[in-house]
Amino acid sequence: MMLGDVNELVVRYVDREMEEEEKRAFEAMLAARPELQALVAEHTALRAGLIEAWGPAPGEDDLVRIHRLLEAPTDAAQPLPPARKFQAAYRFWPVAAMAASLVLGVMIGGWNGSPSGTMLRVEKGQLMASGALDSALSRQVSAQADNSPVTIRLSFRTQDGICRIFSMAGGTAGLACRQSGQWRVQSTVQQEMAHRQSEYRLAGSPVPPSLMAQVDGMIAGEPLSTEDENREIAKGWAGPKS
Amino acid sequence: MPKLRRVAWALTQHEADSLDLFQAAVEKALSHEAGAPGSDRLGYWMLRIMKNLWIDEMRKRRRWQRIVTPLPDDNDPSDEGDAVTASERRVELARVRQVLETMPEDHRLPIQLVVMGDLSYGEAAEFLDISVSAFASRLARARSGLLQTLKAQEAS
Repeated sequence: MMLGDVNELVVRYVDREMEEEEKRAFEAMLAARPELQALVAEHTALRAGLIEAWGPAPGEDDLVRIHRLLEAPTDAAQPLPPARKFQAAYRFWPVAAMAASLVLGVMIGGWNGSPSGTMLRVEKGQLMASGALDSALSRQVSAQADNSPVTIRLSFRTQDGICRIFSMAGGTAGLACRQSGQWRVQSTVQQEMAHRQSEYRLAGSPVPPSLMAQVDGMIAGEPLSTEDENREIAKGWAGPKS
Repeated sequence: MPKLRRVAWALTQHEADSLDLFQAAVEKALSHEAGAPGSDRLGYWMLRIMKNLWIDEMRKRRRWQRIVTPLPDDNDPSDEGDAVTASERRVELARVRQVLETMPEDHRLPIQLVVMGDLSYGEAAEFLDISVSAFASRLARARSGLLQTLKAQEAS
């Protein structure tokens, strides 16, 4: 009987993926080779360990529910609730609501006690980055987190320009895109803060899902690498395409 | 249908994510009912829909990976006085999971599909669009690699 790669045989044996005849031949070989028996034992343990490591499998009641849903008589069938898209619920205020007021800009400036004053200003009805936000957008590379009032999270190209995601110490995250030599803030999201042992931290990831979704819809290609960002910083985020 | 649910779980690991993925696949299948093949191929067709949804989702997740750092779990149950072996086992399992998660996708997916997803080699090969023999050798390489990595970690 032809037997192939030993590892493959062992794995197939452990997975019960052998025809009866091949299995018998393999077991005959196994009986004579203790090192093969050890390998089978290892792979059997690994298989069990993997299943255990993955945690409990979906419960039966869950399946029963799905069956009931699918087998419901058509006239009574309700549309399925929209899938959650793998995201927790979020709150999201569109730009318009934000741009209506300068108060927020003042507040953000005030929160951090930043000497550079407000981080946002309104120009011709558009929200523009200023102060510390403007300089962070122009000069900082993306980082996990740092102690500056503004952290840049991601830079990416769109069809016709370049945009960056930022988050501020106060819990506001936003999306700004380069426009006529300035950073136009296209949207901001105030993230929930969790109070914990007298220190504030973000309740979710540093970038809220709504912003992620926005980027997913706008991005052309992959996000900029640190080298790409440094190049852009050096040339002042001049052109839409490099 | 239970099989599909199980595969969703094998792919995502998380209960909530796997339900979402499963539901998204069912929804998509229902909305593309016209394209559905005969009943003998229906299972594969559904698997394929789920695969495409998942690949899309993974692409998005990877994009965010470098900026999203998991927060420490506040509700981590401490097991004071509990049997030491149980917590050792938990550490061991976490290590297995961690090694698996850092494997390249073409090695990780076959393992997830067959071991956690309980798919046959034939089904999993179909899912990945490769031949059964290519799948079997890829799976064997992946499992051996995983075993070697775990053993090397233990030895060090």
